[in-house]
Amino acid sequence: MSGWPFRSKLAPFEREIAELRRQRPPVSYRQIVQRLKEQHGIEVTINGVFAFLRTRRKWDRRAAAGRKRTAPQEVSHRRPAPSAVVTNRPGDSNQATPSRKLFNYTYSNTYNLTRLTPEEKVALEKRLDEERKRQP
Amino acid sequence: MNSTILFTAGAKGGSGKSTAARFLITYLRELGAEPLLMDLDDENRTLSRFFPEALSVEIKKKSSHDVLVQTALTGNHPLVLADLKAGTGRDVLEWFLDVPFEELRASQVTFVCLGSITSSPDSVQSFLNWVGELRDQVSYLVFKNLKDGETLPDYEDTHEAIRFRKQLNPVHVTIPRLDEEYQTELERLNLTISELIDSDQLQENLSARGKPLGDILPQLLLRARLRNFQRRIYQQLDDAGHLFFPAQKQKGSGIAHG
Repeated sequence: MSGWPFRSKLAPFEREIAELRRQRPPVSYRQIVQRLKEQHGIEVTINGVFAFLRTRRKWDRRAAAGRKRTAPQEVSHRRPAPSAVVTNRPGDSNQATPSRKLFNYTYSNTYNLTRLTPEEKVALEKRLDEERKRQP
Repeated sequence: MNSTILFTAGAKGGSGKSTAARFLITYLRELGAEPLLMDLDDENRTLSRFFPEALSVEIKKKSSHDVLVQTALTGNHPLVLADLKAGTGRDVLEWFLDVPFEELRASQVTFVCLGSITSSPDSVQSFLNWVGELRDQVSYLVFKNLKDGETLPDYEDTHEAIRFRKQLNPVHVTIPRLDEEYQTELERLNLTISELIDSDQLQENLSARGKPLGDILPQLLLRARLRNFQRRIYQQLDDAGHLFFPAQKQKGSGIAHG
């Protein structure tokens, strides 16, 4: 399986290994190593399985951020560009594509004070004064 | 016996809550009142630094704040001043929501919320969050602390703040900006302005309570400047007398508890 370009010998069993780890409680890495040896005759270290899954998770995160899941030799080890985590504000004309959104931020009236223009301020003060006069 | 609980509010750190409390304490003492001081800020203990006699309350859980009401109900302390910590936010606020204000009012226990507002929008927002929950259950004394800037647009021009001012009639006290050098020196030596200017041990370079004054603070002109600074704050606090001494109704604003 390995060779050039390098490809992990665990690649054909990726789905199976991921399923085992997804179980609750998850199958331990030690048990996965034993199972691979017994069922497929593959010898691998515990750390090898762990590193294999970690790399796949990284690829999946990149895929979720809108990039194609790349083959090993195309994988960039650079950190994702900051723009990938910039929040999208409502009304932004230059919005990222939906697949690039990591989370949405919604303006909340509760936690954002509403600044008024001088005219609005006078009008509100007048209205509140009148309300107060009306109260017994 | 009447008892008034004064407490600092707002989750924003560095907005001047403890500074406001300090001025209020020295002002009340100058009037002959001896407020019971409770330091509920278990992170900074700012109040205890300046007033070692303050009771340090360990905040282990929400019910730790019960001590406030229990102390007031004993009737031994007409004034209780509690300095709450920044960031206590929701927990302490929820404690306040359990307080039976009506019942306590019948037992002559009233609450005054001390807010401190700076030019930071967060300081206004966090204070108004408290106001939104406490509403007219308590009276409000708002310190406009100008340490970060002369204008407070989020307190002056926002819908929420205008409603608060018009509907709940807070009393306002403006704390002007104090020269950083003096401020730092006072903080470093844990001194209140009052301790400095009332000292009769200047020859020995000691404050009124026997703390060392350092090199800068004993200067004559500096003390004169600080005396004026404090007087300006005290004059404004005179208008809030009805909050601290409910029996002695004075002119001015404030919420008339029904």
